[in-house]
Amino acid sequence: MTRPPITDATTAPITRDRISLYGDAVGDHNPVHFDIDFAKAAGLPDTVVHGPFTTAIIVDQLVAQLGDEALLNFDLRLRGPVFPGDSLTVTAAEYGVDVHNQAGVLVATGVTILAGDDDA
Amino acid sequence: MNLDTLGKVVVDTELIVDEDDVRRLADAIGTPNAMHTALRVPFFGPTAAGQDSVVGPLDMDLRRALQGGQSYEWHRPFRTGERVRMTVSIEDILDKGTLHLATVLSEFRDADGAIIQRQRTTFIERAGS
Repeated sequence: MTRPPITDATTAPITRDRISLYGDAVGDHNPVHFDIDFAKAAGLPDTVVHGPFTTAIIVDQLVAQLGDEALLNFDLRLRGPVFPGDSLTVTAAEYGVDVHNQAGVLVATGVTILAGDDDA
Repeated sequence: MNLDTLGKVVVDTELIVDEDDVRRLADAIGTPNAMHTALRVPFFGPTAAGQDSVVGPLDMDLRRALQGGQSYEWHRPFRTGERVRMTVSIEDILDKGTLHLATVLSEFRDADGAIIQRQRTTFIERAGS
């Protein structure tokens, strides 16, 4: 079975307001996501987006393209931090997707297993 | 990181998939299909269990720790209003000297015990100075 194609897609900027919404939704108020001084003390230039929120935004791109039932497994490796204001571009890779920020830095790679893969 | 937590169940509880919580998560995702996504990437698990039930037993220092990966094994989406059992356990811990890696497994089952989804979250902690 031929896999459905994944076309390049870029997310809206991940604003601090959206990060705040996510933190409230999941109850995760870890200061590394909200407190710039805490983030800088940890050696980061800014606060970082929650890893699960980054994951959710990437999964959302796949759900939008592939439909709600196609995704069976998704294994995402976070390769670099995602910061407030970043937009993520999801592109097809051999076994899933690569994700770059607006500066072209690879921030994540994902492997997908889709319905029908076993039929290949 | 507390390497003795390997294999331990740190959360075993029942919860309701609350529609308002799902909607809040969808609002953060902010796209037309966000509600579908929000029912696949739940707002609970190690993230929501957080400080008390995962970070605490692992004794992770949040200034030196980050999430290295997240995987999902979906059997079906969650349904709003349903009661699910969530178990969170420390599936694997690797001591690589200057780095400690922990894989946290979260399993979600319905009232009949059928699996809804499994998540694995990998945390990486740098050694302290």
